[in-house]
Amino acid sequence: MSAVDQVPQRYLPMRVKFGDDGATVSWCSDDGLDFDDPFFDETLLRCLRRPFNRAFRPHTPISALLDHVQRNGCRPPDAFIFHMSRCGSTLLSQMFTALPATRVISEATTIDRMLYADRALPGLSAQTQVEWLRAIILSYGASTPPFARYVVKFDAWHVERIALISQAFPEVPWVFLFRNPLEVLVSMLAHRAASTLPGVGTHLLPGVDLYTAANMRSDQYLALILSHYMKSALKQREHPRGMFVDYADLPQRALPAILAHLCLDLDESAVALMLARASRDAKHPSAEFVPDTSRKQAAASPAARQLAQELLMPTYEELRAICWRPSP
Amino acid sequence: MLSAPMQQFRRLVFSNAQLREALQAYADDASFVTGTIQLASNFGIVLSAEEIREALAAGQREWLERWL
Repeated sequence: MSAVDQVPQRYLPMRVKFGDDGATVSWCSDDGLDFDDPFFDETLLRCLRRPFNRAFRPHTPISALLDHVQRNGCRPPDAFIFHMSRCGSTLLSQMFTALPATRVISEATTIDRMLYADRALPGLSAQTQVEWLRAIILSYGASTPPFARYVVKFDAWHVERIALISQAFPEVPWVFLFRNPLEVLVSMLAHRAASTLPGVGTHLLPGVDLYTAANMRSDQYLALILSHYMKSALKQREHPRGMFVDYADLPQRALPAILAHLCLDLDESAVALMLARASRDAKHPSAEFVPDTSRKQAAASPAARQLAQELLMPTYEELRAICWRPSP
Repeated sequence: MLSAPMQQFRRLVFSNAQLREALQAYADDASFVTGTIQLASNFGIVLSAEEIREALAAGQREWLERWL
């Protein structure tokens, strides 16, 4: 690797790697794309279709990332989206992609790497980790002319790192989206994400070792994951920038309150664009959205119902008690 | 380990916007390999097709290993 690669404008971090020489960053041209796919990796993959972007990517030490964000006037995000998965977070982030001049970065691997850099590099100071996290998020806010809005959606497990994220961006408001956990559990059991397998990546459920997790029934483990997400969010109930929103109030009912909380002053036509986007399936935008609450409730097995009742519904009710509610 | 000509060409690529634009115009790997050899030769740099294919493969590897 050359440590002196120059990073041209319109290049974005595509990979963060930790090794004996600390942290290094690989960069990729944004290829003029809008990053309007449901997930960051999908757009990155489109960039990599172009042979040039696979063959010529600058590799730099982490210090170049810090320099890059200072030189390029990268703007901080307007909003963060946290969630418990399968609860409308992609819907909300996709609604923002409907707005002009708006960058939405959704579940970027690079941000995950920085959030758990302390595990990859034992001894890394908290201050350095905060600086790196701030830099990687700022780097996606680079644009000439500047973006009108910039929104970051995190992976579900990042809710356990809100305190760290708030150290990097104390001024950025956020929403935590949640849903009736039985419906989420049914969805996860039907289509399990690789990230919910015990020990995948850097993520292991706190207090559950790998042997125990590997021997646990999958529905039990998934229920514990959901419990962890919800309890992590609840710990932030006093956060001055936080807002809790139930899936049941998405998209129309809660949207004005969410926009007000995020200090995003949009005119009627912009709101109409967002709501029009909400009529499409968030993860498959070519398909129309079909409500699935009844179907998920009906599909729940007795075992899933029992797990939800015992492990999840009490925390869900606590979230319901502090979440945004429409005026009567 | 990259060859000296490849290192030299990479430095040129990241500092020369016009060269990047020319390289970005190739939409498929085969024409990219041929075009890169030609463009490098314009700067007196000799690259082999194998070196460029290796660079393409390294990019693919990096994508696959992005969680590591």
